Amino acid sequence: MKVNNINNYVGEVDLFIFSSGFERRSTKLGESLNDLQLKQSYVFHLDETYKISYENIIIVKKNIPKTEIVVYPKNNPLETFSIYNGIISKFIENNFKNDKLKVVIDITTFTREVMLILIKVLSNKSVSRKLNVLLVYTPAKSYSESKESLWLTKGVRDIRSVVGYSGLHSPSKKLLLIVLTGFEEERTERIIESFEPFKLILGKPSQKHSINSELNIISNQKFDLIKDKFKRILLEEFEFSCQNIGNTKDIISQIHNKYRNEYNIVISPLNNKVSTIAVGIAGLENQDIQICYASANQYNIDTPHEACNYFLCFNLSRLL
Amino acid sequence: MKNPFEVSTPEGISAEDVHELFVDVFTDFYQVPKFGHTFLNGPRGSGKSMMFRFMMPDCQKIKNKCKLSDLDYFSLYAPIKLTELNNHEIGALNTNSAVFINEHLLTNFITIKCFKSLQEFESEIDQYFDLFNEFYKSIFLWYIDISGFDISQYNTNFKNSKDCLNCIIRILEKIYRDCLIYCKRSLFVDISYYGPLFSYLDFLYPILLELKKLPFLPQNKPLFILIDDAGYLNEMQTQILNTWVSYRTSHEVSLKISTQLDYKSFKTTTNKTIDSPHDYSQVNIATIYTTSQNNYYKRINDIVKKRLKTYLKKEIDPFAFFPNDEKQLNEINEIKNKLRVENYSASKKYAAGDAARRYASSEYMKILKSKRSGSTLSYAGFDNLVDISSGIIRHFLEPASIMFSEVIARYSVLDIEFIPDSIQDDVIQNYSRKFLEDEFAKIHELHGKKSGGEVLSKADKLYNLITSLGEIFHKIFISNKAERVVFSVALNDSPDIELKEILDLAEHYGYIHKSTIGNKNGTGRVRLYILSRTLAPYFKLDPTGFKGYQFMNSSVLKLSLTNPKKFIKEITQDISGDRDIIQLNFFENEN
Repeated sequence: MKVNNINNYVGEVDLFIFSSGFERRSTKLGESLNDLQLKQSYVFHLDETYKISYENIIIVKKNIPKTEIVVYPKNNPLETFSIYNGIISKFIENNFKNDKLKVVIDITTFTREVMLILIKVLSNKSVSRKLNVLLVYTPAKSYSESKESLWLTKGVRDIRSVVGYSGLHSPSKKLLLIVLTGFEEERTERIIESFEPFKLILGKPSQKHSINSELNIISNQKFDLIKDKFKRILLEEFEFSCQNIGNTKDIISQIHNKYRNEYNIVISPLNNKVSTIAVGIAGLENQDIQICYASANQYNIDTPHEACNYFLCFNLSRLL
Repeated sequence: MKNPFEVSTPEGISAEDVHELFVDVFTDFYQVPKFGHTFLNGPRGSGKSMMFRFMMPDCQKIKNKCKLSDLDYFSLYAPIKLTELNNHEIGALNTNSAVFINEHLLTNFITIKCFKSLQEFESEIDQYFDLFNEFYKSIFLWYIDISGFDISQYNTNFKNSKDCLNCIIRILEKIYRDCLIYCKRSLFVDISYYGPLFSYLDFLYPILLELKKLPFLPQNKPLFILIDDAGYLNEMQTQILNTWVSYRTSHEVSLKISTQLDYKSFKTTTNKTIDSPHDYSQVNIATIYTTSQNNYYKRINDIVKKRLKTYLKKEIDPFAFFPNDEKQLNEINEIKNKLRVENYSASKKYAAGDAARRYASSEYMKILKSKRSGSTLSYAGFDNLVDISSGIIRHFLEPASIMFSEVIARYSVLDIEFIPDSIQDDVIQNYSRKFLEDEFAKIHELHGKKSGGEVLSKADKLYNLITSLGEIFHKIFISNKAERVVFSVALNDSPDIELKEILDLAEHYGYIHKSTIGNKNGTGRVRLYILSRTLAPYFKLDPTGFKGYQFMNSSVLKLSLTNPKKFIKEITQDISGDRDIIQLNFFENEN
């Protein structure tokens, strides 16, 4: 749901969680929320990250002084899982009485992997029945004046399954890789080459549900390059929504149902956070799906990730 | 039009196509299809999986034109995919049970792959269905029973081997899945595992021994388990696999293990190491294909011919399909003629030809440099492309595939007889640049951290080493030295820990290949480090021809890690011939 007046929409909040980021838009929600409506606030801050990320925390802390910093390690997803699980469990233990606690999470600058780990923690039944979780996303308006040279990340450091989404695979089945493509064709190529799947399904964002039509054109060009390179193993292609979680989740589930008997399915969500959440929810509903993540070597911290003047809000508790 | 050089995953290729396309390389790698555990190491794209695919019984039946039971060996294929066994939920198990759970999962995983391999031969198994049914009841069920699985509902009669095999796989997969669910649940709470536990010695090995006795399989012949891409196992699973190797049961079941030079450990679960040749034999594809006594050139020639014939229905000589830059070739030939005249000696009848062969490309390069017109050496031509692939088949096929697509895109032609030299050169120059520059971003992320007190990270040192070697080899190439095409460094002594670590890293990323060579005194062998010829276009080197190498002390080479300028200055002084430093200017032919 598109929301302009965020404070009216969220009301009183028991816990606000956001992630530090190098993008300017990482502070937009933190700067917009009314501190008086928030009881507790945590920022998840990646250890040894860009200096600008810490500077962006300070900007939010000016508006929400009660924000506590939780540091999580780089490239150690198991420990990250453990830290998040501990923080959420402790919060519930200290605050839960009878009514569900309201948690607002700004997912704008979490890495896809960390966001999926957080959703896994929140999906645990002992947690989900005590929380009402609202996810808020600040979309990017535009990326760069030079669209041809647009890049968000460079290089692939490591490809791994996401903690909690390793999938219940059968050794007797062949591998089907599903990629929800975005702008990062190098990551896409590396993932496909590393998995050496038997078959490949490529998804691209639909024009209708794209957040920005200019971004959609770039995304389409990159999609065609990948499609051509791997046409030999391409089983089918599909379109997904970058704005509607339910819509994308349904598409993933349909594909999963169609091929689950024949293949082990690995999904790599490489588009925006909204479609990544959809993949995550599909993975939680269908335990045999594996979700994988390719960590980047380098992020383009100079690209002006200008924020849209609205927020996208999703009620996670209704989706789980 | 089908791109004949497209790289396909061998798993997806039919036995008939493999038979059509595969060039028999087992004379180069004779240990692989023999009794005994073997590690087959090689960078991505060096042909390991294709070798395994060719060893599978469906391909061997076509090759030998025989029945399953008449094969020389029987292989069961167990490929490991990137995140199939190595996932965080399994890795999170940190109790004492972790070893047992990991061995159980690895054993079960490979057992399922083995029975899955058998499904290909249902009709041959059906001829001995009663015996196979008996195997199921008295062997398979017995072993899963004693492993802790309730078999009460599985003592059934089947109509055929297909149903029987499906049931075996279904039972194993249920056990596998239950264990994965246990691992997943362990993420949130500490729980106990009550399911069956398999191990190699108590489960897979005895089952395979009984399976081997069935008459549809070759009797008294080797049984191989082909474990492809074992580098994707986690550390503990790697140690478990090493423990299997250490059992020395290879006279009955041989493990053929392929790695992309990324194998995590050679330790067993009891912290002992497995050693070659006692426990296993080892084949390093890149090393075999980058030394002079090899058939690599012929292999690629055959591969190109087979692919052109299969996909384009053409019988074209690879030299004609990948022509040289004619103008450059003529000019080099003129230089050769001139050199022959200049170096003619009645007493040394080989001197003229030798000089022409050794110095023509070097002299041509000097002329190009003196013109300063921006023209550079062209790397077009089949022989150049084979040399630039540096022993890695994919380094030939991938650029060739790009060249082929480029011709179609640029000229919109449907019938391709050859690849123009300008396209070959553009593509291979770009391929060489990407091989160094693009890869280094990744290396920097992994090895870019400086440890306490260090000025340079491992990635910095590696970059310095490779670029320093490239630069001195270029200087030697355009020098007046007796031997100018140099790609290797032979160390007089052992490298220290720091240098060895960087050299190992260089090998892991495919920038150098390791070998050995006789020392100067003829009393033993010394280490030889060969720069990948894939970097020849990047450093403007001649990838073909006479291959000299340079002896030096490890302390000199070590200088390149931290002070490349000084290293290059030292070597440059030697190249100009002012100093007689034995460890720096001693050249001899690689043997």
